[in-house]
Amino acid sequence: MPSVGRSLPRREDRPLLQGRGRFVDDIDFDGTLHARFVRSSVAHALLLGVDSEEARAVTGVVTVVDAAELALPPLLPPIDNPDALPVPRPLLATGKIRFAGEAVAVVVADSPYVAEDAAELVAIDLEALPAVTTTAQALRDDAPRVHDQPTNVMYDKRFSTGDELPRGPVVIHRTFSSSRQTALPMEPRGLLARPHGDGLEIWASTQSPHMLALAVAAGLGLAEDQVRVMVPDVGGGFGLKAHAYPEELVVAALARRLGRPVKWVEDRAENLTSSCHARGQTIDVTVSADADGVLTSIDADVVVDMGAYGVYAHGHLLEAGGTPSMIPGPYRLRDYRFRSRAVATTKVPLGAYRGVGLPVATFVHERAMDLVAAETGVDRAEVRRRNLLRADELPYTSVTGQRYDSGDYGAALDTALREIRYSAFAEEQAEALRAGRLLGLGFAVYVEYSAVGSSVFAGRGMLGLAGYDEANVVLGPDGIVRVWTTLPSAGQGITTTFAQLTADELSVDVELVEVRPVDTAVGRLRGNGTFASRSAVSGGGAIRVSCEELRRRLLEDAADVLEASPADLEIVSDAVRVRGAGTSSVRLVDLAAAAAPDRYDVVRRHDPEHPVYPYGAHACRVEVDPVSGFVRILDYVVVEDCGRIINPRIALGQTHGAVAQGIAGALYEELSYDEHGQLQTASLMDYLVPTASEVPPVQVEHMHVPTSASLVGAKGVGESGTLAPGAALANAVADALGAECNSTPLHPTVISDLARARLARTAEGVR
Amino acid sequence: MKPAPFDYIAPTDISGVLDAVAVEDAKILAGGQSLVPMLNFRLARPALLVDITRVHDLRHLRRVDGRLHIGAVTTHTDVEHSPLVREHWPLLSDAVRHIGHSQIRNAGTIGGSLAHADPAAELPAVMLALDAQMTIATGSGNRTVPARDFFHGYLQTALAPDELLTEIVLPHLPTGSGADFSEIARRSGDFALAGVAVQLQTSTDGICTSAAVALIGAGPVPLRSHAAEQRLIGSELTSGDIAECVQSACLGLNPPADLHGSADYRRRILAAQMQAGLERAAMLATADRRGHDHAR
Ligand SMILES: Cc1cc2nc3c(=O)[nH]c(=O)nc-3n(C[C@H](O)[C@H](O)[C@H](O)COP(=O)(O)OP(=O)(O)OC[C@H]3O[C@@H](n4cnc5c(N)ncnc54)[C@H](O)[C@@H]3O)c2cc1C
Repeated sequence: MPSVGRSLPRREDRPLLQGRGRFVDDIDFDGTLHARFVRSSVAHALLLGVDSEEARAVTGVVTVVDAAELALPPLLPPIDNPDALPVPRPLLATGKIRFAGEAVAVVVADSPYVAEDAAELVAIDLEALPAVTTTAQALRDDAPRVHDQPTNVMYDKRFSTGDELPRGPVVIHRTFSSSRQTALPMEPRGLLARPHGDGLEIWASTQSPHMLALAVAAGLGLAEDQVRVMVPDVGGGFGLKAHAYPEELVVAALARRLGRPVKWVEDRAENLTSSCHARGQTIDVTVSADADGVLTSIDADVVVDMGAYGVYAHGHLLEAGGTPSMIPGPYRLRDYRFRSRAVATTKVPLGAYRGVGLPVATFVHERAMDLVAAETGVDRAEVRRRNLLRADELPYTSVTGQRYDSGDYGAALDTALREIRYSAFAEEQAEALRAGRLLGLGFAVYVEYSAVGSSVFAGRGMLGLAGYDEANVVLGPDGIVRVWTTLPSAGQGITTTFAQLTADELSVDVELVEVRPVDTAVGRLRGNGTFASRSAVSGGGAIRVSCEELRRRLLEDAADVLEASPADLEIVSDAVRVRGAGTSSVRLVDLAAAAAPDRYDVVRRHDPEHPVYPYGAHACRVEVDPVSGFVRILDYVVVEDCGRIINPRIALGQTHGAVAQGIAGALYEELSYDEHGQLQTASLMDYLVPTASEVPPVQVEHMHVPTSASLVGAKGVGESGTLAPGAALANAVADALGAECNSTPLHPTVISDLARARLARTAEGVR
Repeated sequence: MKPAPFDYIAPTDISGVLDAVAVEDAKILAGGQSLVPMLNFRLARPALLVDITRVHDLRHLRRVDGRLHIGAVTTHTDVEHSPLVREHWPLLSDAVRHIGHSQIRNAGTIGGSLAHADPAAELPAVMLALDAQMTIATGSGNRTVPARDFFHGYLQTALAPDELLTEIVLPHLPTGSGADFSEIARRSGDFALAGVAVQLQTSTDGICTSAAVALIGAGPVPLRSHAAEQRLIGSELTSGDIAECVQSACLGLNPPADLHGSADYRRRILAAQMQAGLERAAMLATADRRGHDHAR
């Protein structure tokens, strides 16, 4: 029985639920030392000196290291893009401090408690400079410069389909914004490094172990094979762990210098103030349409608050590159212009977070659609239908060069509208309003690129991202098929889904397949790691091509044993047999026992030639409380096409989690700074992560229009659920209030003002 | 997020606690649900923690002569699940459920909440509304402080650093009383943005004889709205009476503004909560009297 398509229980769950998970912090060796970073409490300053004498005197402290003593080169994301300035990031602040939370020195002690006590005693001598806390401020001519450059604009790209964009007759100009959010994995960052021979063994909580190994080797001047990275259980990444961080290189360097294992596990306060943030955009948009609501052009000015630095290896192009390329969304648009800038501020660097750039793009095109509808008087569903690419227009290359592979966007919308009972709503809404209740309905259609390959990364100048992934599939003498890949399991369930894919590709029982934790020493694999919804497509593809080769070898060898032609053979559960012949077969375990050592040890690579494009529609009904301004989600419907579904239960879990994080961004989470560059929401008291009580039940409907762009038929399901909630909820609340909601999160104070105004208008009989 | 170094002792009787806290820089540790986060952020750095959870005399809930005596180390969960509290002091019972999540209520104590005196916390307002008496043990004997004199300012109370809150005593509530507690918070389990605790007393003919309206999130300490109370006493507690009282109560309010809401916003919420809370409490007071008459 094929195992793909079945809701096999997640192999990850039992150990985790029984408390047998093993995370970086659970790994200990004799003599392990603990690192604690001394961080700047000031956002912007000249760094005049670091005095660590008192800290060194604390019993249990082994060393205190600052930039001068570390003497290692900065992390410079390998970006080759004419529109980007280089943004080197010192491993420890050097000469200048650029955000509150930046690491200035590191204390190493024999316990984490002593390290933290001593870290307090390190005195930082600095001369404060004015903080740069908004992009508006950073763009002013007289703004303080964050880097040694004539400007704070570190990336500036312009694109246009022509000199003059067709305008009108309907022209809508609006500013949209999306506040900063962060991924907030339950397990924060952490790394343990142990000297091994003349190199290092590293246990890291990371999404990109192979990239991390290369970054550490390059940063420390080691050969690539001197650094081995292993990934134990990872308590969530969501993009935040797709990067190599300065702290990780520092800890690796310390382990080598001290000749002892060194561990660093950040706490929640550090996670919020020094890992990476995301979103943080302001977009000025001019949308033109004809009187029937058909788009004629879009002109977008995207400004991204990139914070003090980029991230390794993505640099500072993540949001600024992603958002404008997808603002056209699933719509037919030929005339488009954008300018996209990443602007340095003295805030935590911007990195990846589930959906990177695309939730903001979706917010822009879906708010715009509702505004076009309102302006032209065409129903908001109908406006979308008139502009959505039809199924028969796909594959379709968008103005920005995105090659939408397959799908039926209109069908996704119509299903969502049916499930949310759109046609009945206007009447229900009017009746509720007469009773003083504010109901709203909103929806959003999205398309996403996922599983980006090396050609796309190269095109963006992101040279440090492999784009491809590799798998090592090994049939052992015990008859077990073991699989290593370049994609760690970080909660996505790939230990289970990769086993399912492997089992089907080889036609063996899924119980015979074991997916192993990532270890860069196994199979000399190279590859990207898990982000951008790529695991199923890219990792699955690598597994597929590896299995094809392993199967070929198995059949070839079995053909000798069975004296048959390979073409007449098939693998069934744990043996190769002659098709139809019944009795004539050889067990895999016997083939393995007889084979030369590396015969059934296959490494293959998959590099997705084009991204694939999951898409869908979200729709919701809400009620707004006019006093508190709180938004209650009454119904939430997702219709999505993530291609062939490997494990329905896991796919559903991905969608639920992604929608929850989308709702978080729409209604709750916001990283806000004061004018001194201090993060005001630096604990979970103030950074409002919604809990299970706040997240409503989510109804999920699947569609499936086959794609040829994915070897395994899957389109990627990790991120798509984050794209539409912001837009769908803002549209629903706007509908309830009869007012525009153009920024996220929706603030209760603002919503309550608009809600009372709405009720007052109703009372006066104005509608 | 690890505390600075400290010493720790856990006395088993009250005199042991008092001896221990007489030392400079000592701090009482009860459930730790407020103090430990402050230690971890190094906002508090006592030299000595005096754990009072082993003092058995401090954990009890009893009714004596119609009054409720609550030991300071009684947990929120003990209070939440007490049938005695539910029956006779429903305001306390209703309020305590709003504190954090069950894990927090299992550890956090009533004395800790009052001694901590967070203006957004539930229990200080409830104690104000119920005219509770705080019993405080000092090196020179016990003293009693009424709730209205207990809360001095943001995280400040009548307790001196070397004193121990031992017991909270709630007066008997006669027949014809009605109470209501409501609050709003961004997420379930969060400290309140604003909240209102109401305790009303009515006479046989339905006239309000006493009223307590305590507000959460209205200032640096929980407040009693005397303006509201004065308007209510002597009234029949009609919706109109209540609306008038709410209006006058709100005039004098000056709630704080922060990230999560402006002063105006909080004032509006308080007004809506007062209106609804008073209406519900008035109904319950009437029902209480009817039930009582019926039982006779
Ligand atoms: C996630 C979370 C959510 C929470 N949500 C809420 C909420 O919604 N509402 C709310 O009210 N609280 C909330 N709390 C706080 C919780 O109610 C605490 O239990 C309470 O505030 C303090 O009680 P404690 O026993 O834990 O005291 P501790 O934390 O041990 O002590 C608090 C302070 O009181 C002093 N102290 C304690 N007992 C005595 C005593 N007997 N005599 C003198 N001084 C004493 C201590 O020295 C310390 O200064 C929350 C806490 C957490 C962690």
